[in-house]
Amino acid sequence: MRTTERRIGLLFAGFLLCFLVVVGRAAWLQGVQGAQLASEAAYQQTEVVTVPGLRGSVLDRHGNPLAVSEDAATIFATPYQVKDPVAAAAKLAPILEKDGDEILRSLTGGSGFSYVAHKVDMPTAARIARLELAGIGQLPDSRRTYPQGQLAAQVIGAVGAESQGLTGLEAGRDSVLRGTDGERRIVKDALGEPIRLETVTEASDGRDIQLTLDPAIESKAERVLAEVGAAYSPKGATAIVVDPRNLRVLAMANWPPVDPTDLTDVDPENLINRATGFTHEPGSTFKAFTIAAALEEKLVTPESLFTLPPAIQVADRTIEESHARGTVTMSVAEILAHSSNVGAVTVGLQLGGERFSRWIGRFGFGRPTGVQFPAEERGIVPALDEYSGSTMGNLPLGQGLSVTPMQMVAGYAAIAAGGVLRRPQLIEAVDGEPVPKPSGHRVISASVAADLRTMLEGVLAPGGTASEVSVPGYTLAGKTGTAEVAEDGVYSETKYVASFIGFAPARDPRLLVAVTVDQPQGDIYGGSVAAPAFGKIAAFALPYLGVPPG
Amino acid sequence: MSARALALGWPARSRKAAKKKRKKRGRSRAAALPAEYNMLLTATLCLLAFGAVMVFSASSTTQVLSDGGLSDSAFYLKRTAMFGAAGLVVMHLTARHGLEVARRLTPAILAISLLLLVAVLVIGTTVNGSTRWIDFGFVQIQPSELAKLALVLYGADLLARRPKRARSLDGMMPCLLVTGLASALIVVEPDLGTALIVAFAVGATLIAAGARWRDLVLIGLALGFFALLLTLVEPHRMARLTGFLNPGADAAGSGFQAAQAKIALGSGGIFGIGIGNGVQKAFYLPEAHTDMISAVIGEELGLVGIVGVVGLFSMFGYAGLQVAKKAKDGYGMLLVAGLTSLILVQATINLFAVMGLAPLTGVPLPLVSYGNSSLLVTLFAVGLILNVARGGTARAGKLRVIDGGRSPARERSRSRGAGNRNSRSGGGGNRRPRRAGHGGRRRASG
Repeated sequence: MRTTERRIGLLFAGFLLCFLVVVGRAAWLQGVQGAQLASEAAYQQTEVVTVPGLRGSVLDRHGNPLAVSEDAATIFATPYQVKDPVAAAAKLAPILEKDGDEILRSLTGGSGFSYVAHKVDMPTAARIARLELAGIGQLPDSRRTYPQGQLAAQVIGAVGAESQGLTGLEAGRDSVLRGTDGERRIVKDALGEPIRLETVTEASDGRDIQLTLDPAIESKAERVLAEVGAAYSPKGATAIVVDPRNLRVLAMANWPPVDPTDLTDVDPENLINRATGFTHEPGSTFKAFTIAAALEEKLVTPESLFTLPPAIQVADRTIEESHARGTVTMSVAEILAHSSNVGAVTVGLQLGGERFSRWIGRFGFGRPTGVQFPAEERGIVPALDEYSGSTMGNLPLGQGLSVTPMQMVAGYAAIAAGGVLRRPQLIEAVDGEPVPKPSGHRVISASVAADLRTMLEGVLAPGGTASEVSVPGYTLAGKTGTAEVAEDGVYSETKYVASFIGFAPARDPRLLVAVTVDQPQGDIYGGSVAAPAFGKIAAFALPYLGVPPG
Repeated sequence: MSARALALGWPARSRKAAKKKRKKRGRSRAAALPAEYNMLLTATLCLLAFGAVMVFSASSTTQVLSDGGLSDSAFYLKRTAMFGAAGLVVMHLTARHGLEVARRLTPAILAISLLLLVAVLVIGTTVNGSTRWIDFGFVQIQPSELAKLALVLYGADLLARRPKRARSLDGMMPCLLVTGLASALIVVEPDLGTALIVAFAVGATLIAAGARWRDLVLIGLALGFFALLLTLVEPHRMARLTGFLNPGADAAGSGFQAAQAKIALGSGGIFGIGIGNGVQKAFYLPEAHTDMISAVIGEELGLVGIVGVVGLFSMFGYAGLQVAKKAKDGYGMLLVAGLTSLILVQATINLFAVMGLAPLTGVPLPLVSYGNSSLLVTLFAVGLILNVARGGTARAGKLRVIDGGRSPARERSRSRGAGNRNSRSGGGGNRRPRRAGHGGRRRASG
């Protein structure tokens, strides 16, 4: 009996020893080696993928999207895993609407990874996933779509493969629009199928930007420019439509158009928003500022009469009229209406270089307007100490300095809006928050502004340089410009910039349109190339905006 | 009153109860329970309930993943619950009448299990290259599970009849031969793990019976020799052995399972990643709900879970061996020692394999792993131990299996059954000394 009890005790001791070994081993594996084995587990069980944060939308003034991002997929291949590249390429080509040979090349490359297609929309990606092709995988991506097509393409801009802004507001406001990518951990079973998803860092979408652009006016402006483009084959053209009372930009059109989804083979010049990026000598449209300065300095009144010879000599330069004439007597108003070069220089010489230089600055030339568009040009305005003897024979005519269409719009809007110069506004709201309204400052008195508006009416009146343009029911005011393009310091005989800036109704302006056409072919005059375009845009926009006739 | 006590499931024949029996009938029955009886029952029920939870956790993931979510995630849980309930009924009944019946039927059980072990090789179902199951349509049974039990029953019966047998190799020879034959049949399936369990369990019975160390060492050496031989001739066993000896060499191949078990345990850390949260069961661990369930426990409940399981088995072992010590006759002692060892050996081999302390042999964790035959047999064994714990005894049958060479006659077993019933209802039955068994044997041989 003693033996038996001892033997049973021995058995128990044996088992207990075994169990202690088990516990010791478990403590070793789970305690000491736990961290390392846990990392091995994580290595084989989990995969961390990037979840793209969607880029914010660009909206029009009504809040409708002009550019939006949506989820997409990038299709990639692991070439050595592709079983039958020829068959796979033949299946993929029609779905991706791509060249079969090109796809085949991506499936047969020597590397272990190659891209088959970028930014494929989700329905297409789902069709590819259903093919269950070996060696073909997908990565989450996003793509930019443009519900309004190419509308305002140069303003909105384009994005690159990494959804980064390349041009336009997409580049200028990239920090606002850009989303922050998140990370997601996928827990997989041993067969590679996902069994659990965990969010490591939340992806956050970018913020929306609402523009002041009105899609209907933008669209009309672009159609009108397309007609100009078809008729005169210019190098480029731009039209800006603003409400002069608050300088909100309603349209910023460019010609030729570009496709923001496909920038290959696009001339970089056509990606530029010419409204802020095209510098040119303004020519006659600038005369309004010369007259404004003289009026404000009380050197002249609209009725002041000048006897103007056929030509006037300033230092080494002779200034003539564009259409030769004899000696005439003109009022200041007539000088503007007929765009007299001699008259403008005469008035300018009365002002003198020092005062004139100050007035150029006051109207905002030589500085960006601050329209919230990236890389806005400032133009070139000679400083007073750079003036030569002939400078005052050039500047009053709008020669010898360069400006952007936007600067001209800002200046004319001051005339139209009672003498207050404002910063143009292109962005209405960011992420739903309205941006602060820019405050203006007075540059000329309200009465001088009113005088100028009356004088500019004459341009479209019989005998004016744009007398053929009219919008039934509305009185128009504006100024034509036909500027020779300076090349290597010499004015070209064949290259001109034709422009027209006008507003309506003339007495109470609610709409201001500037049309600038770079190097039109066949006809060169602002009155015949640009002014009719102004007329068409105004004829649409005035009733569209509900502006009462007047 | 004692009849009612029996019906309610309390031991009516503990010493204390027996003393008071005639005066205070059926009073303070709870106090009458031996501590080891309660310990054993507690450990068993805890392991069983814990097993059901872990089987559900380990199997539901793959069930859902396999068929695209169409299959029943609780399939294995339901079957475990069903067979667990059936097993508990078996245990409950066995705890009362099992010992007598089992001893009387030992020759039959042994014969049937040997027969089934041969049959399984002919008509068995092959899964993963092993022919271990016979399919009866509604249920699959694993003859080796029955054989484990049969051999322990037989060994205990044989050695209890004439304790001197344990003193010499010659005396043990019948037992060794039968065990060897059954093990050989199991090895052929092939199921080396179960064969080893059988060998160890019978070995534990021999140790308890007082076999000489010299003989035990010889038997151990022979066993080791055969195990090594069998490993060397079978490539997949060889691969498992080399995978065990050098786990890093081929982590994706033969070492895969061992490596995955280690990863599962390690990623559980001290407290585990939470019940049901384990990932390793999703096809990383093969047989997550059976052989690898302890790896799932380690992953989901950490070191704490493993210590808990080991603790429950230790409690089971302590209680079982206490029951053996206190058994009223040699048969009860040997049987309980053998059955307790049978369950503990399985647990040890399973845990050693999962922990990377031994090569993988495909042994489930008793009471915890999914496995219907194993569950029924194990609960039957627990029932027998409980019966002994309640002070039950069984007299030896008239015929001796090996010496007599014939199966017991129907007539005799029936009359024996009647005698047992008489002895049980007679209050002095529990007091019958071991001598009664010897007497029976003598009668049989005489």
